Amino acid sequence: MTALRASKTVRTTSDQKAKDDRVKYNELYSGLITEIGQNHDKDAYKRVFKEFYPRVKSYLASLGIDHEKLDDIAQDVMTTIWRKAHQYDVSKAAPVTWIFTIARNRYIDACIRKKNHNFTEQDASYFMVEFEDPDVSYSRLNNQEIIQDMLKKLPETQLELVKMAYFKDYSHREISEIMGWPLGTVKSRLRVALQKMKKLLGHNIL
Amino acid sequence: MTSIKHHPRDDLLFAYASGKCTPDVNLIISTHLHYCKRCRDIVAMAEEVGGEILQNHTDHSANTVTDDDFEQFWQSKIENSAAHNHFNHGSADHDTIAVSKNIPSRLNKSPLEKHLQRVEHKVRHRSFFSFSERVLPKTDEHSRVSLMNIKAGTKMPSHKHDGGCEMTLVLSGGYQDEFGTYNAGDFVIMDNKTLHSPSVFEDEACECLVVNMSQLKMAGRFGFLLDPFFKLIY
Repeated sequence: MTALRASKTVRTTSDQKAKDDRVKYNELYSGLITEIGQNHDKDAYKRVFKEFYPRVKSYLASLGIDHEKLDDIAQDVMTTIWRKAHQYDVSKAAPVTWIFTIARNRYIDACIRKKNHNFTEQDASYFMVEFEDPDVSYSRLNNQEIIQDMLKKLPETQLELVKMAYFKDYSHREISEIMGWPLGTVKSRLRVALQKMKKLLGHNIL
Repeated sequence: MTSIKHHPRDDLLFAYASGKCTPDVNLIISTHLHYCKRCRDIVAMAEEVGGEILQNHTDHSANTVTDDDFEQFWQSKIENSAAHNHFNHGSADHDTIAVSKNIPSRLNKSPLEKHLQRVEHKVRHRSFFSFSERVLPKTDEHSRVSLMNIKAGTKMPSHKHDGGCEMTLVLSGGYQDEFGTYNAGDFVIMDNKTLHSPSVFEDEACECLVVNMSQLKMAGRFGFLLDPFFKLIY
């Protein structure tokens, strides 16, 4: 009994440490991005670049961006971070979420240009909302750990399905072939996975 | 203020948040988000999931950045380029252009308003007996976007959308059909099999943003929308 309690305490402590580390990590990088925005600080930018450039590049590669364009688009994400750092608001998003939305927008632009050569708009992603939402009353910074917890609790197949459908380069039909499920099953299981995510989050976020 | 009852389904919101939708779909979803806190929260959640997935892309042993790599990038892309002094301060384009081209004032600063300002000279106006339409320039050969203004009390004959599917977002006023009542902010998808006969409310014209997607498109990337459950969303 004592041993059980001890092991539980150990786990709780290590969980707590992981959470504390994550909070420190978010504070560090949100501070650096703020520093770039306010003072155009090259050293701060270098640290952000070293931390996120490899991640952005790896993420864009998993979305199926052509190898020869990968560097250009990933670098474009990084220059956007430099140009828009002053718009970053720590109360609305964790650093990595903000960077994700920039990478997503550059990905949209790249897809449009590839598919539609007649597309004349300079920046196809301007259709995406950039919120200045006065309703946001809680810190989105802390949401990242809630999301992290939720993703850990989500059954592995459901997590993989969500990743394939939304954060990698697979159509529903391709998923159906890979998983050996009928197309309708892919759709319904995906919906179940999203429901499960919302349920795990409960009232923490939604 | 009426509350919004008809929302895009979660899988569509996730597709939007992860960058998997076409520009026209992005436009109608982002306009819905201007009305709907619930869907903004779901999109924010999906973006946070995306952030976490980006964070976990740690298998980048081949991509480690050295000081030299950074210096090279810095000199070519930041220091010696327009980016160095180019910070997107404020939104200059907004200050110089008269706001809201006949769209509800709550859509000020929305992507729809910005889009209308950019493409104003390319918008085609069409007028019919009971409605007028502003057709926006195409961003995609398989879909069509328009702003429709339908007179108060108009009863439309029963029809279906043979071409593919139709997404409608009510911007102001409202209508009802066999399936429900739709007010400002409500988002509806109709497939190509369902018949409906919409009637605009008696007291106010109904302004809608409408995206029509062709069958070809439906079978491709957006095939996931075509299933027996999507006739009515929520």
